[in-house]
Amino acid sequence: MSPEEVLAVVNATANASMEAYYWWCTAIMVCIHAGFMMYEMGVSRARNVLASGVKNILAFAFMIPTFFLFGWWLYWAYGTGNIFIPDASAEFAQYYVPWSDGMGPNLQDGASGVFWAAFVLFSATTASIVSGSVIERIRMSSWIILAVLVGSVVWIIGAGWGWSAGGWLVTQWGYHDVGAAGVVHVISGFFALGILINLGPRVGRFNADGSANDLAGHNAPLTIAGLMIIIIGFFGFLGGCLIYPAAMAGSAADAGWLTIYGSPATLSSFAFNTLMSFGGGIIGAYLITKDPFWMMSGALGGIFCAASGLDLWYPGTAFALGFLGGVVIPYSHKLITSWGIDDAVGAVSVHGTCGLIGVMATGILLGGYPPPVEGIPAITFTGQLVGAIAMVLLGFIPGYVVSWILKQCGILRVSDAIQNYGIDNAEIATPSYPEFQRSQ
Amino acid sequence: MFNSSPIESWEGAAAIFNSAGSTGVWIWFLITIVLCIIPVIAAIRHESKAEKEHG
Repeated sequence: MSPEEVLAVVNATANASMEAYYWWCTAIMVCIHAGFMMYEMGVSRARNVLASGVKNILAFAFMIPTFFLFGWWLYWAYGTGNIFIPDASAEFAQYYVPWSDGMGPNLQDGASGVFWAAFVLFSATTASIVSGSVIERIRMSSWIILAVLVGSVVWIIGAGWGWSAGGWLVTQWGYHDVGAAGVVHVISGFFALGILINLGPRVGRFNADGSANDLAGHNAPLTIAGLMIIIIGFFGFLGGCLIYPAAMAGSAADAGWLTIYGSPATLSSFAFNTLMSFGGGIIGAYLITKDPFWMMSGALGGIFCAASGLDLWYPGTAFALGFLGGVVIPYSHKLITSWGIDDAVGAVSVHGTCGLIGVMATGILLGGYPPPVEGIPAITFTGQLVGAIAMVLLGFIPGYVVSWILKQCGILRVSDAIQNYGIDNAEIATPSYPEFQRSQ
Repeated sequence: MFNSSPIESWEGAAAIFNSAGSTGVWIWFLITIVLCIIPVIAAIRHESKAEKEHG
């Protein structure tokens, strides 16, 4: 073979392996949805279990076409430095309009579909995060609208801002968030908070004096098993946060793995720090609660506390951050509950609070690293703070405003009567446990 | 509609999906939008009916 032929084979093989890598990350990420579905169905009372499942299924389903129609375009249109107005003239924004040659089977472009697919799963994850907090009283139609908003609009704008090499948070503030703690978890956590304020609590959650009643889910083992399956899914998610070396085939052959910002990274660093923060989160939550629900929530929250700097933490630091997350989550949830806000699964605390810890810990402990490329600021406390504030506002404001509009239209909340009767009984044809008496 | 191939040969082909590069893509694009909106409207009607019956 001639050197040119050898190079062609090398490039073709490199591209195929890169595409396969993101394909399998996408497949593994489906576990996040299987896990959230199990988790939320378990936390629901039996009379609402299938409604909770349908909510998860529909969120996933609606992410796919809406991300195709406009979500993917938004990422590229906000990834060149614009803050409020999308840049329709950006090269990849033009390439990824949904009617273009790049948005379908294309023999000259084998990568776009797999990248798009990985991002679809990130979007669906963002929506899934919100879905647990609103179970047992949100109307399905409003839920679909809000899920599309957070999954195919809000988070992806945040990703354009702070999870792309050209986003304004990165180029102007040196924002560093490789595992999307801010971009996915802070946004979704605070989006959920915005909805919860308008949605109101489940019937019977709070007494007249403001004290809270525990509305126990009907299947704790299903919930806990679901949380463990979500962890499997997050290996796909975090793996998908890295740029595969062969994505740069033909240019810098020794580039190796890169973060989304173009700085050097290794899969090894993600392996060390994901597992250490996961373990720390469980152990920290066990110390405070001895409750398996909070332990597994701590596992998730622990990962988010380390997510922003997964490429750089000493594993002992990642463990400590995870431990901190596991300790903080129950107290954060207690505080939010004391405000009269009914977050059925603690999503605001697990994702919002721990996401903020992750973003800020990076600013506090990871200063001084060289920037990914010349001309971009290094990691700073101020840069991370600006990013954190941006993500909180980007999540909270649309969640609050749109849910308020839906509430004014009278289609946000299931009536108290149907909550008492059971959403499954009222709206789902299939009985959930036909051989057992339905809960009253 | 039945002849939606955008290519006549595989040699050098790029976009190969049906109707690539033609107005047919716009039709499928619009169909996708409509098929997303209809179920949401159906959900609103289904919930309203459930509220009337059980609310």
